[in-house]
Amino acid sequence: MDSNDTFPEELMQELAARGAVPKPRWQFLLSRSVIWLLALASVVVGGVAFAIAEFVFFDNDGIAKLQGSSIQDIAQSIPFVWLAITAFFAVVAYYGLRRTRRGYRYATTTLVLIVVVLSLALGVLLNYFDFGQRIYEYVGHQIPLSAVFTGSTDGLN
Amino acid sequence: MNERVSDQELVKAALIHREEFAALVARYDVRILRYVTRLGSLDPDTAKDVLQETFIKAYLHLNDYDPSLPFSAWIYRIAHNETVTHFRRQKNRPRPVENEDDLKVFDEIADDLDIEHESNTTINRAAVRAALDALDFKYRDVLLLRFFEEKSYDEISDILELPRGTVAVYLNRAKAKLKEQLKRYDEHT
Repeated sequence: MDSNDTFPEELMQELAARGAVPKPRWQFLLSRSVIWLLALASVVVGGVAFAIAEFVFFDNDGIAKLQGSSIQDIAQSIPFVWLAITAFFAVVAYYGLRRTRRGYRYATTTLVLIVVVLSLALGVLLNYFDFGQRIYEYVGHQIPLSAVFTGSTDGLN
Repeated sequence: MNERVSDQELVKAALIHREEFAALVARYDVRILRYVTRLGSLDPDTAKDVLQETFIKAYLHLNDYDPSLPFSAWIYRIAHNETVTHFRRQKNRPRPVENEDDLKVFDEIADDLDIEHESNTTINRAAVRAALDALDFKYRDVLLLRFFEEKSYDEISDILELPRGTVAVYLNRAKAKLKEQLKRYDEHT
C-alpha cells in the first residue's frame, strides 16, 4: 500500500525544521563494539573466576572430601563465592550477547550454554597453566580476608 | 521514485540526500500508521504523532540500519518501540482501534482457530474483538503482526527482537488464550 496523503512532505518539513541529520555510523559501531567487549570481557572474567574456583576446590582436596565426609566438609570444600562470581559474569555475558545485533535470534538456552561452556573451558585452560593458583595467591596477598572467597581455610597459607 | 528501487538503495540515497528519505516514507507510512493504530493508539492524532516520531527516529538512526535485514522489519521494530514508549509515558494500556478492514481479519482469525462460524458473523467479530482486547499486550502484538500485517515468523522475530521459537510459542499461546476467551464469550451469550 502506498502513501496517499501529505505525510511524507510534512515529515520532510519537520526534519528540515529540526535540522535533523543521521547520527554518524561510528557512534553505532562504537556502541556495538562496547557491547561485544562487555560480553567477551565477562566471559574472560568468568573464566578466571572458574579457574580460581577449580584451583581452590582441588587444593582443598575437594574430591577426597566429596567421597567420604560430612556435608559440612563437602560444603567447605566448594568455593561458592568464586562460583557465584563465575555465574554473575555468565549472566552479564548473556545479556551482552543478547544485545548484539543478531543476539535476539538465539534461544536463551543456546546463549546461556555458549556462555557457560566458554567460561568453563577458559577456566580449565587457564588452570592448566596454573593461572588460577597465581591469581588466587595474588588475591590472597592483596586481601587478607580472601578466606571468604574460598568457603574454607584449608586453601589458605 | 521508481518502485523497483530497493529499500536498501533508497536508504543509501537518503544518507546522501535527505529528500530521498521521502520515498521510503511514502512506501511505508500507510502500513506503519495502520499498525500503530491497531496496536492501540487512542486517536488518529496520537497515532500520527507516533508515526512521525517513528520516521524521525528511523532517519536519525539510518546509519544503524543493517541492509541484510528487510527494511520493513526494521521500520516496524521502530514503530513497535515508539508505540510502547508512548504508552509507557502515558501510563495507559493500549486499546485497539478497529476499522472496516479489521472486521475481515477477525473472520480470518476465527477461521484459523477453527471456530465454528455462526450464521450471524458479526457475533464472531464482536467476540474476536473482545477476546483480543482481553489479551496481554505481547500476545496481541504477535497476533496483530501475524494476521493483520501478514508478517512471517522470521519477520516477527526481527521486529520484536525475539527468537523465532519464542514467536511461535507466543503465537500458539495467544491463539489458545483467544480460543479460551471466545469459549467464555459463547457461554455468556
